[in-house]
Amino acid sequence: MSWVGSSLRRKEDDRLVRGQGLFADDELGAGMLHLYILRSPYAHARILNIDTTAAEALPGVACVLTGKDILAHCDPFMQLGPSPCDKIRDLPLAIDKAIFQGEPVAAIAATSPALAMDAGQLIEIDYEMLDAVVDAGEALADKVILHEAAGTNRTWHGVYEYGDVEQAFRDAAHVVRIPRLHFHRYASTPVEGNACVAEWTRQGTVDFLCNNSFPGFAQQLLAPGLRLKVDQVRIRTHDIGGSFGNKIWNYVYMALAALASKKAGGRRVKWAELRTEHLLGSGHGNERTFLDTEVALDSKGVITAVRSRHIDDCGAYTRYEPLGCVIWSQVLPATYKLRNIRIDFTQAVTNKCPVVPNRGYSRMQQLWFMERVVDICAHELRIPADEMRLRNYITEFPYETPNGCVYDSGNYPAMLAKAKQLVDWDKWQKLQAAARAEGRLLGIGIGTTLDSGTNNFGQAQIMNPHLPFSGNAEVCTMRLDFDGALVICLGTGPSGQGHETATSQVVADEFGIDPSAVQVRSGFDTAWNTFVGHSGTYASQFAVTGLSAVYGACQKMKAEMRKLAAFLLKAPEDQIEFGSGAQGPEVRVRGTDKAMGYWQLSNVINNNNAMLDASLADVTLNIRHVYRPPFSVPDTKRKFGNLTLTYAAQLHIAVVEISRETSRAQILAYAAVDDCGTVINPKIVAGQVHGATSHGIGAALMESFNYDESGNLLTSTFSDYCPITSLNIPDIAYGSIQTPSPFSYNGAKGMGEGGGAPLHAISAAVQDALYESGVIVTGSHHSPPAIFAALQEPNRAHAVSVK
Amino acid sequence: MGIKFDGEFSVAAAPQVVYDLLSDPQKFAPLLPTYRSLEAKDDGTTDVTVEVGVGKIRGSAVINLALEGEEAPRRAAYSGKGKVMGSAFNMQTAFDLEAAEGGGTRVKWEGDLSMFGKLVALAGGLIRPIAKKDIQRLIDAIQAALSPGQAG
Repeated sequence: MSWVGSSLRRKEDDRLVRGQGLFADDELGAGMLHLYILRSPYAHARILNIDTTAAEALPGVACVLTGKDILAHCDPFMQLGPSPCDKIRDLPLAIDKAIFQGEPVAAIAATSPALAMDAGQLIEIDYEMLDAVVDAGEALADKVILHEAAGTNRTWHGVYEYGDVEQAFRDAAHVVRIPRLHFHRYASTPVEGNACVAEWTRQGTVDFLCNNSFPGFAQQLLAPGLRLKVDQVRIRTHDIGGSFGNKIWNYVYMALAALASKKAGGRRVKWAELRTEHLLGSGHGNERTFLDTEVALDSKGVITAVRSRHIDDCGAYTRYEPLGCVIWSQVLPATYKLRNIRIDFTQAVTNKCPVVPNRGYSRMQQLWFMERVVDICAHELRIPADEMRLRNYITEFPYETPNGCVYDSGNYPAMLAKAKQLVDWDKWQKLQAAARAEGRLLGIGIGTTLDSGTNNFGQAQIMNPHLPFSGNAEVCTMRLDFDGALVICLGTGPSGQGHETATSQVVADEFGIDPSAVQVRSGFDTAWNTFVGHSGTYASQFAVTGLSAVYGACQKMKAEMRKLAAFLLKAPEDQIEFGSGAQGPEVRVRGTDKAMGYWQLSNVINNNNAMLDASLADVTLNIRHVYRPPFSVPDTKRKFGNLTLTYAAQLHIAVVEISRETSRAQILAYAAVDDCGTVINPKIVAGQVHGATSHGIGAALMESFNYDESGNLLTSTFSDYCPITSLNIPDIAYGSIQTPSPFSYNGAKGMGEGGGAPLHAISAAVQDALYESGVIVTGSHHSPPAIFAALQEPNRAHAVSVK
Repeated sequence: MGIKFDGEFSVAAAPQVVYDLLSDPQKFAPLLPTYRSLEAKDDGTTDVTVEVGVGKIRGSAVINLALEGEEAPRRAAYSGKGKVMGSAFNMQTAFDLEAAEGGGTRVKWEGDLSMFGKLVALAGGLIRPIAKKDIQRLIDAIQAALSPGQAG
């Protein structure tokens, strides 16, 4: 039997459901201090004076940090973007100016969280309020400048052009113009907020227990920021309660906790984010506006070219951005076969919370854009939505996109057929006709999306040619322990993806043993795990990078065990086979009863090695394997190259009815079909699909970060932000197909970021419901107020035109 | 978050009497519905402490009031700023006085309140009606002070 492909119960869950997980905020210790962060109430204000006298005098307060401390002990964090990003001074606290509401301005370490918070209220700060700019388009006018040293709010600009766009428009039978589309700002709301415990040790090093989901990267940013060597920054994680990319960037707060520990004489300092803090000041997903879009189509409705102008709003600091200015191009044509594309892409800073990678990071916005384009064209040309997709889908794989990305495998028509079957398409078509006859607003929408996984970091050079990044890699170390257990240490820690289980399945198959004999260490420690700069759980890559590293380590371990067993059992190496015997995992000589348990092999190497032959000197039963995907450096001038190794796909269909009384869109039926190639664990994949679908439905119907014109975040609590809960999640008819990737050893593709499909499908369904009312859906958020406004002022006359 | 209010009311007192009250923080501030205390500052401004709260979120706020652009007996205008519970606010308010028939005064007033921070986010939707109610209470109190027996 094969363990890969079976719905093995998650090994992690026993620990987690019994309350035996260890999260950063669980850490307790005598003398530990607690950090409270005082944040700017203003979106844009000069800091004239900070008086900490009363706070510092409060008994129990160990120290107060302000910008002065930061300048004395900290250097600005590296920015990935090119000039003018390099002129942005990014520090853990605002120094002389706050540039978004919620930006940390001071921090207090005290003996209890409540005391620290009370002390925060005693800090007197004089602000001079400045005008705020919250719209990226307005920000580009540079009337209000966030970073004076940069001199502009425009942080990146580039043109992506492929094929012969002008000729395609000259040849077009139809040209559809869409002046403006807008993808709204939302984020993830992990069960566990950001948290860390920092200790500035007596040796002058820093020890973090935290929930950062990209610790190898965080270490490279924190060390220079804290004026330390990389190895002087130790980062440990244990269990992480969800990240969705958001926890990549929490190094900013980790630095603050470390500096508080330093000022407090090395006492451990814990910072655990409150929910409001998370919504206000952690990280949001990219907000993007698509302007002046023109679509060329032939007489059959096949899209031949798209040209458009995109403006990305990255909030107050660029940080990980403007990587998002390139990452979207992994899915440049979405699932469609058009070859002629011109996208003028600009990113701007605004007085809002910085954006960070968020489930479907940057690609989701592009995919939503393309889905809206396809959907609006279908309606305008009176082509049925399913037929429009079928005429435009890519159907042959591997497929090289106009910008050189290679879609590894897929079958979008089959996914569409399966989703239609699951949702009962024909029935809903009839019900829709009947509903419309009664004046009801019922719509059916299709959303096709891609989950590109395993980045080629060379794409960073398209954004900034000076960055020393390319390719990707992941590490696995494996040891045969004294008791015969295979102990696996991964280069990265999970945040809910089930790494321990999936790894056990792969190893069990390779050795022919039970997964229970495989011990995968939970958590991650830069001091003990081996890792590379790319190590981390992000970008839908573990099934490819992580498991390929595991697979490679298995082969190396088996080679060593085979060599050792051949010597000990006096048999040729090619006669040694692996499996389970009466006493558990063993190696044996094929066709005989000669066998040795794993513990015996380990004992020979570790305890009883005097009898070993010199030819076995290289057998250590301690393996390290680094997997490197087959990437090359992209052509940065042409913005051309393979940016991602695998392309999982999701196809969703939503049926919604919009109440004329309340303007609420209610989901009546929902189908989700997933294709992530070879499935390692169907139960985990189904869980990821359901989670991502719920997340996307929440984003489409409920969740939005709304700012007023002054930069006040009006949705900074769950009462206003309204995250989706089990009560709002419809029944999801779930199905899958498997088109194995030819580029991964096991056919698997990374998955889990398919959060975009519901946005596409629901936008399309709302469009279908409202089209006859004269509404063109130009936004991605379909709250009752948004739908009410759309119905009050139908926009078709100016939101689209066809020639 | 910005809130603008305006309105007008009449009182029996003469414009000079009305002006004397509205242009003197020591007399005017105690009429604020949740007034607690007042402290005159060396720079000519006045710190007025008032109770504030939305639902169970309650506390006190110190408003630094500065009398600006007074024009006896026709206009009294204040600017103010303060902070409360991690939030900040700025305000501008002005009273324009006209003599009315019978020796009384017609008072046209306008206010502009800008709020920033946590309180806006937590209770943005509630602040407007609360502010409206408090302003009405203030107007009632001014009327009562200047038209004994007529207010309410």
